[in-house]
Amino acid sequence: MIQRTVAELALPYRDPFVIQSFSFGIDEAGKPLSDGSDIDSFERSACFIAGLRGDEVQQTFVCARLVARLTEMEQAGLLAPGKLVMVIPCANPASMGIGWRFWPGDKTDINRMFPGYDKGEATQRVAAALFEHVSGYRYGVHFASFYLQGDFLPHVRVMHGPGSDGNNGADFGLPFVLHHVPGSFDTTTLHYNWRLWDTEAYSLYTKETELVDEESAENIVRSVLRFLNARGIVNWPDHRGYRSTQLGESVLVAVQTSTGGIFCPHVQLGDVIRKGHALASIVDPLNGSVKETLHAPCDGAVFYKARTPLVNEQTLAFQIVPPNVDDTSGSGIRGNFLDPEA
Amino acid sequence: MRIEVSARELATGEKLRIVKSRFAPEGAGNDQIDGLPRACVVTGIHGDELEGQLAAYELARRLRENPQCLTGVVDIYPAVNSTGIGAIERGIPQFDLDMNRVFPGNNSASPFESMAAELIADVKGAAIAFDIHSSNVFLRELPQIRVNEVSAEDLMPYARRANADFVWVHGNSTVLKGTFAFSANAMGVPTLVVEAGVGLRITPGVGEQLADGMLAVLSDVGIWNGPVPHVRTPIVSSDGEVSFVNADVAGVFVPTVEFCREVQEGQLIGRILDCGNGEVLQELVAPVTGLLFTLREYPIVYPGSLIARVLGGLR
Ligand SMILES: [Zn+2]
Repeated sequence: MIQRTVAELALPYRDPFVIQSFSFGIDEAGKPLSDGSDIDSFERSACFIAGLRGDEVQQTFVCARLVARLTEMEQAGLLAPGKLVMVIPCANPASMGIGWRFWPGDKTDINRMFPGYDKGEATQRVAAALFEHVSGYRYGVHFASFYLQGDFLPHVRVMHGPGSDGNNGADFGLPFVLHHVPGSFDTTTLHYNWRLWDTEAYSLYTKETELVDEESAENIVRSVLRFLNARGIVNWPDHRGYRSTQLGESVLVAVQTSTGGIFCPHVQLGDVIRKGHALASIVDPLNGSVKETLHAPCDGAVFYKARTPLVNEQTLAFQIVPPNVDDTSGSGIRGNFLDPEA
Repeated sequence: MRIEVSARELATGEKLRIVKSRFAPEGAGNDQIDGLPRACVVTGIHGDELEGQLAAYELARRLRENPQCLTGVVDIYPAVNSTGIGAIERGIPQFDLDMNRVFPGNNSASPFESMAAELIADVKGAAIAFDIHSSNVFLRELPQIRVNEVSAEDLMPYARRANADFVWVHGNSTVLKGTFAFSANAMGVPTLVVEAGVGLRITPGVGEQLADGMLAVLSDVGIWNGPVPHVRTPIVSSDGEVSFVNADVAGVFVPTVEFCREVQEGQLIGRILDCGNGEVLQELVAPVTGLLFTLREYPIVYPGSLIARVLGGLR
């Protein structure tokens, strides 16, 4: 294993901002990577990154456990010779250290700065340094979180466009592979830029973000190793996990509130529900009366659920996956990857 | 007359609202109003930018005092991100969401995005729109109009009349498609983006200057037939070339020049200090001779922080 600093930046009145990477590999002679190894002779096989935002703690925890696991596996000779795996568990320690989601100086989002600019503002410089190190890999996996405050069933997100391969995404063995059609604000994300430069990119969504869930983290580490095994990068046989359902984002059925109030859900993520099932009550915060009951508009399973105790009018409360949607060809996925506005 | 443009109920029963004030010719009924040219003055999309408040007041005051001079309709939207203004937040509170990245608001997954769509629908059909910003809390800007080169041909006649000191014509590659101005221009409403002053403050004189400019443009599009203030001739960026000065170190920035003046190549603009040690970490100098139109206001800097912009190469 080689531990390196991939980016460093001075911070006002704080210790410097330092991003660390951990690289794993075994050379043709069976020797694990060490500081004297010729790392450039390895094939850049897979890169994992988490913590671009300071509140993505579960994501960082998953990567940290992955580092621990790969360390053991490298010693045990379970990596395919000549293949390099790099993990960056925390890409934004400056924000995580103070419990913020975005950059401490100007509240910008590193994941809206790719591919970066080395003469620009601080987060543009960080993105540029990061991108230089994470590009050129065959596979790239970003442990991400959503901008709305809610929880998802664990899933793999693939940006739909040329070269996207949902079948490979299914090798994680997670319940769902979601095909996302990029919009204009996606073009500055790591995922999009990886794809633009020929890395097969995946975003993995775990159930938690700010809170740590050990069992869920272990399941994600296991799905990552399952993927690496299927791609011939590690030798770690496991059962194949879920037979992933492939779906276009547009097939998800949104359930939104039509009033504000206290959100009292009656269902859990993953629950299978029938059309008309009562999903949640919106309760008046002053007199306790039920202002609205949200009903399932169709049969299916609960894929997304809002996490906040309070909701506004038109809050996205749930997304439902209808049954029998395992088909991305007929699910209305359109759009132009290179020009999302076209 | 106050009109509600868009509203959503918050958790505690309060309504989140976008409202506008409408000024129309005296005695005009709704049918007549629909046939008149209309101007939209939008401000407060960023909750930490307040220079547009005084500009809106100055314009509204003059319209109110001279109703007989109105030959069209003026809609003033004084506080688009209303909760952000009250909470001293740039973005939309609860979501850390920059409202000027969600237009035209196609996504109905959050109330704020569909409120953006309702604002755009309300502006549709206007003869002219102004979107007044005041930089951010970090930088002070000379009152300027920002125009994208793709719409420069349509917008320059208005931009030159808007009483700005400077018109910056941007390259096409820097287009931000989620902005209000991009969406409004795309649907055929000529929309001028105004950047003036600094965040969280109202700079004396800026509001009056912008109101003078808006009145001149209103006169050009047939909405105002009263006296037109004298407007200045702006410097246009295509007359020269914009250079940037960025910090290389972290520390405390203190300027050594006054804002908004000509600087000479090599002239000291400011210093970045290590205050505890009494040391100068970096001296920043003007890269070219020209117009200093952006200067850092907020002292704490990171490596990369923008310190100044200078328009050089002026004849
Ligand atoms: Zn602004």
